Amino acid sequence: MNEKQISYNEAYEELQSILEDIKERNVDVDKLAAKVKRARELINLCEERIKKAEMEIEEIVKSSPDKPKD
Amino acid sequence: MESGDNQQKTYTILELNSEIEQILEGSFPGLIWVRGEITGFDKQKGSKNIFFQLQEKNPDKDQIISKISASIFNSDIKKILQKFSQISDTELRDGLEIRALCRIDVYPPWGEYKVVIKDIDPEFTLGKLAQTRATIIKDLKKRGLLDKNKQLVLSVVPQSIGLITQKDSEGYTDFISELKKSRLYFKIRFYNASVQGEKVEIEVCEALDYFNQQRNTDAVVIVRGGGSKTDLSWFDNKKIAEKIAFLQIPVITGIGHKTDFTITDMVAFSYQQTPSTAATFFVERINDFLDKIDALSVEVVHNSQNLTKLELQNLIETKKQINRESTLFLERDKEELKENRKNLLFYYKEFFKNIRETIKQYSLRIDSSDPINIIRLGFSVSKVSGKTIKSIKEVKTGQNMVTAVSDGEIKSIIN
Repeated sequence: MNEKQISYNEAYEELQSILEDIKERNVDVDKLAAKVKRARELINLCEERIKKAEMEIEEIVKSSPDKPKD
Repeated sequence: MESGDNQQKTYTILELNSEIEQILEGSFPGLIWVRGEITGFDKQKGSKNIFFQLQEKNPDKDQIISKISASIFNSDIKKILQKFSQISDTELRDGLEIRALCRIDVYPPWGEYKVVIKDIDPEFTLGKLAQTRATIIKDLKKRGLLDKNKQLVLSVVPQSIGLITQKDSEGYTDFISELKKSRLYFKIRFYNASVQGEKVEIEVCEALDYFNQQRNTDAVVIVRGGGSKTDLSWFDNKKIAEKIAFLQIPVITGIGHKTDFTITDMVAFSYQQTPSTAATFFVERINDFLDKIDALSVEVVHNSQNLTKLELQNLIETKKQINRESTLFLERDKEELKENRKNLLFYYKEFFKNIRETIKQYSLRIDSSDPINIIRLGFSVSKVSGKTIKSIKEVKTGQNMVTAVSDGEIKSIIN
């Protein structure tokens, strides 16, 4: 699946379910590394998205017109 | 009969009128008080001598039941009008009920009589106006019409305004210039209507009907400006009040001054004292909205910044958990593996121990059945021609027999 298409919530939910699987030992040891790797990818993706959102918000705040006179 | 009639007194017209004059003026030698409603006065305004009528109506049916001609002489006009407007705050006009001090006057050449008004009691008119007003208010209240327009919802950004007033009047200018000062955008739809005089009722009602049909305004505003404080009673009008009550658009008024409060103000969605304050009402409402929007946008920014912070914290927490849990996962696996190995070793030893025991048992049992061990006890096995002898019948005299003992063989001959 293209990572660009995954939403933040989808990524975060997948992350949670991986964590849950690991906690519940619901993973094959052979696949544990792959799962952790996937989790890392998702974490990076989420971090990127958050940073991007933060930057966008900052841009909007900067570009908004002057506050109305008191 | 005809001759008899001829001998009876026959009046000429003038004689008759003159006699009527004498009788009337004799019966009403002094001044008398008369009350009635003024009519036909307005068109005479400014004339030297004013001629009009006083009339009486059936109070229930608004129907004229009696009328009398009236006049005010030029010499009295100024004094009477001034006193009246000063005390009653109302100018003398048609429709007002007055109590007048007058003299009965007959004019024989025309055969007409009238009342010549010498003075008017302003207190009476004031009382009547207040009474009429009170009656209208009571009726509106009973029918639930006082608050009907107030129950409408006024747009938070009322930019499209239907303006009812007199073109180029002070009210018009004040209202428009106040809106312009705000530098906000307004779309004004203007309907020209009298705000003074007897046309007020019909023209204001027409204007209200117009805006109600057009439905292209957020609000309708009725303003009336100018220095004159008099004649606000034109807006103590039942028909205008009813029209406003049933209007589908909120009505804002700015028709009086600080102390005045007409019935029109009473039924309006919002009552403002002057045309300028009516304009301010709109400006403030829009500014309020803009302020709210600004506050909201600040809040949105704050909240979204908090949200990203929170998400980041969640993510960091999840990251830690993943690391911890995946390490823990393997640790636990290793531990289990170690345990298994230990178990395996134990079972393995047991297994061999058992096997060894079993084998020992077998060997013991096998040992006991080995013939050499029996021979050692003193038993022996004898054979003739390689065949083991189990009975004497199996041997014959002279045969060679070999007997095996524990440490060798004994050869013998059977005899």
